[in-house]
Amino acid sequence: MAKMGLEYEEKIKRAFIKAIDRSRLSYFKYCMRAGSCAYACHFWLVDPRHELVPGIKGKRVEDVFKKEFTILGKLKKRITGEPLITIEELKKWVELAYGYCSLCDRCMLACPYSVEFPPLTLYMRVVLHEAGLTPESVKKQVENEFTIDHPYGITKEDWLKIIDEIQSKFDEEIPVDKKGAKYLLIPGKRSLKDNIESFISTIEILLKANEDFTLSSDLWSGCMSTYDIGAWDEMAQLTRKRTQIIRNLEAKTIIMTNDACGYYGWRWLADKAIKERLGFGVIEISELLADYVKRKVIKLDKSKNDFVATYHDPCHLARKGGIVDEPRVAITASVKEHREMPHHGIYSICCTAGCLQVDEYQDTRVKAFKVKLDEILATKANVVITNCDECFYTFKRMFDEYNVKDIEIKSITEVFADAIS
Amino acid sequence: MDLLDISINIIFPAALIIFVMGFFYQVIQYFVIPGPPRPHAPGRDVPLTKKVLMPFIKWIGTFKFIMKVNPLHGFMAIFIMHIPILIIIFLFPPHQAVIFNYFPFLEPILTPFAIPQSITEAFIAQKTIWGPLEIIVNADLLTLLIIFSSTAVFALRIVKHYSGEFKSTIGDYFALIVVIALVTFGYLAVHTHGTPLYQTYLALHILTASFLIAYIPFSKFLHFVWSYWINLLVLVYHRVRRGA
Repeated sequence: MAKMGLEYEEKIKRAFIKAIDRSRLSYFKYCMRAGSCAYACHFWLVDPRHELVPGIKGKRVEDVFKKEFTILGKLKKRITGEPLITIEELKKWVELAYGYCSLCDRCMLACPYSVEFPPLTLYMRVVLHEAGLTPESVKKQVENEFTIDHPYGITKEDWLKIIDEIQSKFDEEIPVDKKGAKYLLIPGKRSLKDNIESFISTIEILLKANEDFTLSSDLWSGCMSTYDIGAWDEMAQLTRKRTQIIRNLEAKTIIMTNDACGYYGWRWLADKAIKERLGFGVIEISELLADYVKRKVIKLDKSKNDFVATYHDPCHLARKGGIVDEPRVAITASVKEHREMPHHGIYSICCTAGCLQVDEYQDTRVKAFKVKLDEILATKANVVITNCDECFYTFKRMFDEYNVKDIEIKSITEVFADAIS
Repeated sequence: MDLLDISINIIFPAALIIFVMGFFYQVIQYFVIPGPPRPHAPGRDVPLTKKVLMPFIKWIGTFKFIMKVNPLHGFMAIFIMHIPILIIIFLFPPHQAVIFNYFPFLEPILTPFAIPQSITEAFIAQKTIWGPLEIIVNADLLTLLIIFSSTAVFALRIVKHYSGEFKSTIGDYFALIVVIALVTFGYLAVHTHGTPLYQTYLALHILTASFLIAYIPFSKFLHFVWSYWINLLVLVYHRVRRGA
């Protein structure tokens, strides 16, 4: 059993102090280990092992917590000379927090005592980040955010080129850096790399609706995955920087398009991260689409999307973000037939990404995707629609893995734009 | 002073004092821990009343989910264990007498709902508000159900432990043993009334109850006194936030 140096222990203690809050504390006190959370976890459903039960993952955090923050635990640690945590245990945490949890929050809904388990996995991630043990592929994303302002390596030059390319597709001028616009459109973090169509279709819709919007040449990612990685100090720095760009543009509201994690982060976490009010609104593209449908701003022709569609609720939008009805309003108005999956809305099953591609643990995620795939197959739909490009990308990868040829994946803006008559 | 006197006059009041102190310790600890709870989001146009009620409605969803995915454990734990426990604690007349001793204002509220002791009593004369339901809602049957369900939940935990699905801790088993012992001693005390064994069983029942009451604030038993309700309030707080 490899012991860790005192310096490490200090780092881990700091991470614990940083991450502790009431909801996590409530876990330590009230988890009855009823096991209900297990049945909500897609990783456990395909691999029903004790250590994968969300509540049991939390128990590992509790064991370390007790050693440092309770009188009896401290006493025991002093008598036995046990380290706060071993390297082996931390490595196990990497596997559990990144390989077997996508922070989808579904387990929380299953807990009869409303104990919040996902924050405990997040707790693990905060500790791992502090200890420098975050998986390399994830570390790279955070580094990219600081060096080139985009987690997946899209530079400012790339972004400006993309704007030019998109502009060439439209007759109308796409406003860039327009001051005081009603909306500032921020592309999804995955859109510019793997699903540019979703972004183009968003612009098409906004132009069609004669919307007062703009793009920013300085802001081409509203990514908030630093929160889910546990890099909270970095998240605060990035949010402060991006908030300043938005304030300089005097935009009234930002539109997050096909970026569930970004929407969740900007709407619910950003003000906390920078400890002040943002001074602008945050909406998700489907909110705008639903509004267009209700106000009949854009005419839609369902027959243009002549297929049976099912909608995948991204966890960061539905369960965490509160966006459940709006996408459905937009979809039912733009496709011939919409069928719900057996578990949908806030009970929807995660696509296994959790807004974060962890290359080191693709195998566990591929295995867990089986649960989602069964849900999709149950609908007998030809098209899966979603409004998160991270989910979109995951579906594409997973459909290849499972050799699913007859189901297409589309973003909500693409489907909506296709239905414009 | 015999064991029964000591249990009633010394140990039980002491346990209540420990409970009250422990409970406030937990409440204070909850509020002094810094940092707001994790956000969880309502829909933007959801009316305030629905936002406030949502956590309670959410529990119905959770309950349905549990009954769907883990029906045996869920049914045992909720219907055959928790509900009878609550009925026995608050509606069984001897327990009511103890509660009214400390909280007299509850007397007019709870007395009308008192349950009969045995099935026989229920068959002979249905005197309570429960009417024909007395055949089910009587202390004897509910006590047996609690013993059965607690043992079944105990067994289910062992089965899951050995299947590798889910391992409970010693504390989880201990909690169930305390409940089974407490209820069994109570049942035996009632059914040995008038015999020399009565006083011993009653003393053991009160001792176990005292232990449980003192143990609640420092154990996971606190879930039904504090955590469930406070988590609901935390969820209400999240729901009424506006967000950006």
